[in-house]
Amino acid sequence: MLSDFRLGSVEGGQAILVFLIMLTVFLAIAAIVFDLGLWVSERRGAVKDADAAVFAGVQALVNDPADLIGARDDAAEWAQLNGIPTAKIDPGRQSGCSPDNSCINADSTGCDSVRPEAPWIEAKIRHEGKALFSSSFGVTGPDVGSLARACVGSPTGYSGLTPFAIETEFAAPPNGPAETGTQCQNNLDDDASGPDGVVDDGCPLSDCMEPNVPANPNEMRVAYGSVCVLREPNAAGLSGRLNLISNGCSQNGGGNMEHEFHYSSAGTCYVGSQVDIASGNSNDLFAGLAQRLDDEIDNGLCDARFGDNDDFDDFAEVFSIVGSDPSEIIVPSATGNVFADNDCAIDCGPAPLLGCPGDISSHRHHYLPRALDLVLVNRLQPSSGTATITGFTRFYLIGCYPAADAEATKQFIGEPIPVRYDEALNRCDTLTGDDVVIGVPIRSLAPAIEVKNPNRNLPLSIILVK
Amino acid sequence: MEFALIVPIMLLILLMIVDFGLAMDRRVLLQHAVREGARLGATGANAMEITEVTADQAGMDPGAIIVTVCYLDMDLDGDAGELGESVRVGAIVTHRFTTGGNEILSAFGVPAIEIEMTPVADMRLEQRVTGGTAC
Repeated sequence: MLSDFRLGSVEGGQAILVFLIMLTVFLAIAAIVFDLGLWVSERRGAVKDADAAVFAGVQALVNDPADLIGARDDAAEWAQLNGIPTAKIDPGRQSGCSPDNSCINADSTGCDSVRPEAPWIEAKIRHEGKALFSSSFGVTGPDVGSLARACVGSPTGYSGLTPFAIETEFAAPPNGPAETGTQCQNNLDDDASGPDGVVDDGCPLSDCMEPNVPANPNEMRVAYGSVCVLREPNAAGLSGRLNLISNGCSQNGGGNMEHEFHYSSAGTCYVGSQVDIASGNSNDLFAGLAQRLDDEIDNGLCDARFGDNDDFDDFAEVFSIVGSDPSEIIVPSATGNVFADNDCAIDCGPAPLLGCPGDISSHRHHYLPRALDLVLVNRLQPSSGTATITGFTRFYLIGCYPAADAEATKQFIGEPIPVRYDEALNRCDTLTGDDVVIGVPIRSLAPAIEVKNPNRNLPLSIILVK
Repeated sequence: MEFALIVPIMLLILLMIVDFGLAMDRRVLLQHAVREGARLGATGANAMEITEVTADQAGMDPGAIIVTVCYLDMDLDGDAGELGESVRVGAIVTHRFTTGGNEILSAFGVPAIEIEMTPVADMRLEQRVTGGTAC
């Protein structure tokens, strides 16, 4: 009887009860999912707005670390472009925001513990989380805003390198200041290391090197705008060629150095890491550079862009002064000019790109035939076999010549170089032991430099730290 | 019997929750994608590269997303894309609730629910860009 009673009179409607309970639970879950979803979405929008603001503002600090007001105003302008009302951004520089407002702060030093000297800018962007369902229970939307900080710093790594090194760690020439242009005629052992030909024996690298900082005369940097002999034969068989495969800088198949002189290395090298020095003849160097110059004729875009069509990429066709008209006639200068690449790099690789002639890898290559991105190392010592990377510098390749022609070419070019020079001298095809390579330093790429280095040719990068 | 009536309703609610979660995920992804696209644009990439990266970051086929790239002529000199001006990257995606709830509703004659998502990001140009479309 008991079971009959249960079946007949009580159990009916249980499913409705379960349904109501489950419905309540489901609706509660739906409300939570809805509101949390909106908050997460708002949060992502705030991250975007804060990033845009600090990326815009920090550019003012790259140009002038003391321009805090300009940086703040630029950040506020981009916050506004991304949807933050001007009235909702606190005026001036504020470390703490007033209620319901966003705020921006900046300072010339104190980015973080890693970069204590670096200027920085910080944006706290407020986005209020919308509370559609939770407001019914008295829950207000939280501040789901974001904080972003960007600093000015020094880049430490670079890719697309020509495996070719320049020494930076040697004493300033004892016979006077670093030589440039036609001064290079004294044939002295300027690096005081004996007549090893590695640095400055005759008309060498120190033509275009200068002390990096006055306090450290044993550390050199390239002098921008000067004409450099990048490679000089020496008895030890060292020519500055590097084997980038050995430390992971290169990803090109087989470590074919001719290929890397042609297309540049595909990996990234970092300041402070060790790299292997290559020895022996430099046939791969000259063959690779000759192929670059052949590409300039066959596939070069700089000439076509400027309507010159002489199969020769003039300096002013390859580079322009940052912020100026790309067609403006320019000459490299040791001070005051920061050059940008004109948009004429060769882009080749796997389809649908242009095929790369003689390519032995499946990598995408993006390179300017006339731009060599070289590796700065501490010392090229015959005994050690390795060197430490101290930075990277971009050179405009003038050409490769027999040694005697190189000296004559250099003196002919002088400083600053004219926009055009004799095409007949522009070749890298003499596969003999006495070829030299001449170039003009254009800009530093990723040195370990001080942020406030007054040399405007040294680049600074923007680092988003929060 | 009662349970058989209730289950579809419960299932519908459950699927709508899932649908909404997916829509939120798409919205967040799109905001991230336009931010990445604008950042790339600020470093001098062209419109094709920006479009490619934005679609990739959104995890969508290029055909399913409309990416707009334009440059603000902030100094009003008729030359958009100068250093220091702004690149604006936007995405337009029509999101259709499809996981299940929409189909079930459609079976009862309720029109398919679609929402349009249009996130936009502005970034300051760090490289001069030529040939871009002015906003």
